[in-house]
Amino acid sequence: MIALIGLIVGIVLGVVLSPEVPTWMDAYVPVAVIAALDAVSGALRSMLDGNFSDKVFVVSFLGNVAVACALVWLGDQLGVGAQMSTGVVVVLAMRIFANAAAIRRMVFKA
Amino acid sequence: MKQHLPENLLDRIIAEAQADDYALVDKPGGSRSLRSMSVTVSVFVLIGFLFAAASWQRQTVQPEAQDRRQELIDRIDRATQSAEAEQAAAVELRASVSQLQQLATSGLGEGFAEQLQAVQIASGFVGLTGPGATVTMQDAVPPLPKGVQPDEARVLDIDVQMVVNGLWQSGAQAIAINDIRLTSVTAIRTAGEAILVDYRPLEPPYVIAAVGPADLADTFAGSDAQAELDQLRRDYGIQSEVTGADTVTAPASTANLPTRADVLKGGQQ
Repeated sequence: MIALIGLIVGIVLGVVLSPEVPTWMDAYVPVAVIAALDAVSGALRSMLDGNFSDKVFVVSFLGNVAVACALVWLGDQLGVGAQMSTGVVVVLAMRIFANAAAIRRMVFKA
Repeated sequence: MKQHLPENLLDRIIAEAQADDYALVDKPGGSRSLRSMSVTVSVFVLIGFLFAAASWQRQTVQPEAQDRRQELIDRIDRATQSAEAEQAAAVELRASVSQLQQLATSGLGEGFAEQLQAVQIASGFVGLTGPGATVTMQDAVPPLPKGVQPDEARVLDIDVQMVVNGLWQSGAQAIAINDIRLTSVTAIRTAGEAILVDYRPLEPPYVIAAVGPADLADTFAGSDAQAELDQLRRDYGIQSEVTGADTVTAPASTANLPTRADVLKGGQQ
């Protein structure tokens, strides 16, 4: 519940402040968004599982965002930035699907 | 929690995703202290902020590109308008120059005035109206002849050149394509898919108006150019129509004419 409120507060804050994303961050925003979606879906699943741990949530979110951005940055330096961000998105999207499937099984028992 | 991982990379990624982070940690259930709670909430706030910022970026970046595009279009329109206005002014000034020339040369005898007029007509300096012929060309419309690709069934610069040369050959005095007068320095060429005359793009249909003898259309009908037009119609379906007319107008050229020219003396280069 409190997580949902936090999420909404963040969205409202983002809409109200309407931050200008610097150009150099353009490549990192998509992977950061996907990493965040992954973290949220994982958190939702673990809440339904009853083994949610805020420490795991915070560390895994920050860790995944950092690794995803670092991979894309490294890819950019090596000239394969676009492919690298595609790879990151594919892997994280698979995790989101897996989490969504687990949530679906728990909620609908199917 | 250990489990056997498949060899296949993709299977492995999926399997590892399903063995989720929370289950791998020894201590299930988080601490309920205020500090860890606030950290969790602030991360959620951060995530929400990230979503909003990302979607905001998509919303704002797009119109910005559109704005720029619109601005460029406006600038092109403005420049085209001012160029047109200046061309119209140039035509007016040339008409008055030609009047003044007539006044100035009226005392120099019949021969000179006639010679001057002939040069002015040939160079496109003055507009000309009189009998002549009009050739209208247009890209083929479906159904196309068998085996012809749509981009082959277009009027090309060489087709227009061919017709223009045919008209000159048939005795035309002045020719204008879509009201752009041809002079000795007017190029007919292709840029991309458009035909440029005097560096200005033409819009189909291509109307080639030629002022000349009254029987220009008949002469043209017997020329090689007409035969080629017929060939183009048969092979590519390109439409063309030649009509004679009592009044055809070729406006004065708006191209930059040489400001200085010398008559070549015999044998001298």
